[in-house]
Amino acid sequence: MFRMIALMIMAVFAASAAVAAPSVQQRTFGEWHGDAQPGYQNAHTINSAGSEFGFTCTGSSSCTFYVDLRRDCVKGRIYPALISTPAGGTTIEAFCLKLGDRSMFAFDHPQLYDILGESEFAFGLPIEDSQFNISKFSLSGAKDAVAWVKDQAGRDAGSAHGGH
Amino acid sequence: MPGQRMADISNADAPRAPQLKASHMRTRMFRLIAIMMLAFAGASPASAQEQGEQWRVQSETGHAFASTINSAGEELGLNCQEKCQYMVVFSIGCQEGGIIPVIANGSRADAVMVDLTCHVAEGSSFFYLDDLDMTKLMAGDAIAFAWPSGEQLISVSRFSLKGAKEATASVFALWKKAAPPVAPGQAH
Repeated sequence: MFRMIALMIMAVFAASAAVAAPSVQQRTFGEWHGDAQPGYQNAHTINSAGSEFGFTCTGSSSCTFYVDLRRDCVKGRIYPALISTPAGGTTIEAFCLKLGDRSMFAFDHPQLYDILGESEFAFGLPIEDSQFNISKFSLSGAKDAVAWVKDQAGRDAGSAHGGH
Repeated sequence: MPGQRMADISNADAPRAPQLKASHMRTRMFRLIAIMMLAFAGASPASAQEQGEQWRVQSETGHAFASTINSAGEELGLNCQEKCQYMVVFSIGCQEGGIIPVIANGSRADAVMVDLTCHVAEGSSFFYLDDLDMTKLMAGDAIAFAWPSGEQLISVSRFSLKGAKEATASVFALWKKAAPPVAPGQAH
C-alpha cells in the first residue's frame, strides 16, 4: 500500500518539479524550503553534501517523507535503514524510486511527525562492503514546514472537491 | 501518538523496556563471561588459548569462546557453553531488557534490521545476536552494526572477520569435544 502511495506521490512530484505552475507558493522555514501548487506540495532541506530530506504530498492526504542521498538504488527495491534524532531512533523500510536521474528513498512512520521538533535527523543506509552511508539533516523549521505542506495539501484537496 | 518521543518507537512492542543510557562504557564482556563461568565451575584459568588473525579463542572444560575487539574497544564474539551464542558489546551502557534497533551489514550478505535486547552482567552490558543469521553475515571480511546513539545520532560498530572462520570453527570443535553426550534426536 505504501509503495503505491509513494509511487503516485513521486510521479506527481516529478511532473510538478519539472514544470513549475505560475500559481506556485514558496515559503522558507528555518533550514527548510517549501513550495506548493495545485496537485503538489513539498518541503525539504539540503545538507552540505547536497543530500536532500523532504516531505511531499499530492494535494490530498497522500504524503511521504523521502531522502535523496545522491546514491543509486534499485527501482522498486525495499532497503533497510536506520533513522535517528538526539531523542532516539528506529529501523525502517525505505522504498527506492527513480525520478529521471534521481534515486530517492521514500519512507513513512507514524511517529516521524513527532520528531520534527528535534534539532537534527540522521538517515543511515547500509551500502556495499559492510559500510553505512550516514546523512545528517537540520530539522530547524521542519515542523512548521511539514505543517504548512499538510495545510496546503488540505486546501488543495478542498478546492478540488469544491470544483466538482 | 502525539507527544511520544521517537526514542519510544523501538520499544513499542516491548513491555516498558528501559531506555539505553547515553554513557559510554568500554567492556570486555567475553573475558568477563569466561571469568564468571570459570568461577561457577571452580576451574582454573583458561586451559587453552589460540590467536587467530584478529580473533582470540579461549576454552575450558565444556566452555569455549572466541572474540575480536575493534579500535573503539567494542567486542564481537561467539560463546559456547550450554549452547552457542554470538554476542556483541557496543560502546554504550544500557539497562537489562532495554531494546536497541540495529542494522547489521555484512560484506557478503544483505543488511538486516533487528531489535537487540540488552543484558547486563557484573555491571557490563552486551547483546545476544540470536535473531541474526550470523553464518551469512560473517561470510565476508567485516561486519558492521549501525545503532542510534543520542547526540551522535548514529554510530557504526565495525569488526574485522579476518580469522573469524578459523576461530569460530575451533570454538565449535572444542565445545563439541568437551560437551556431554547428546541425547538421541538432539543436535548440538
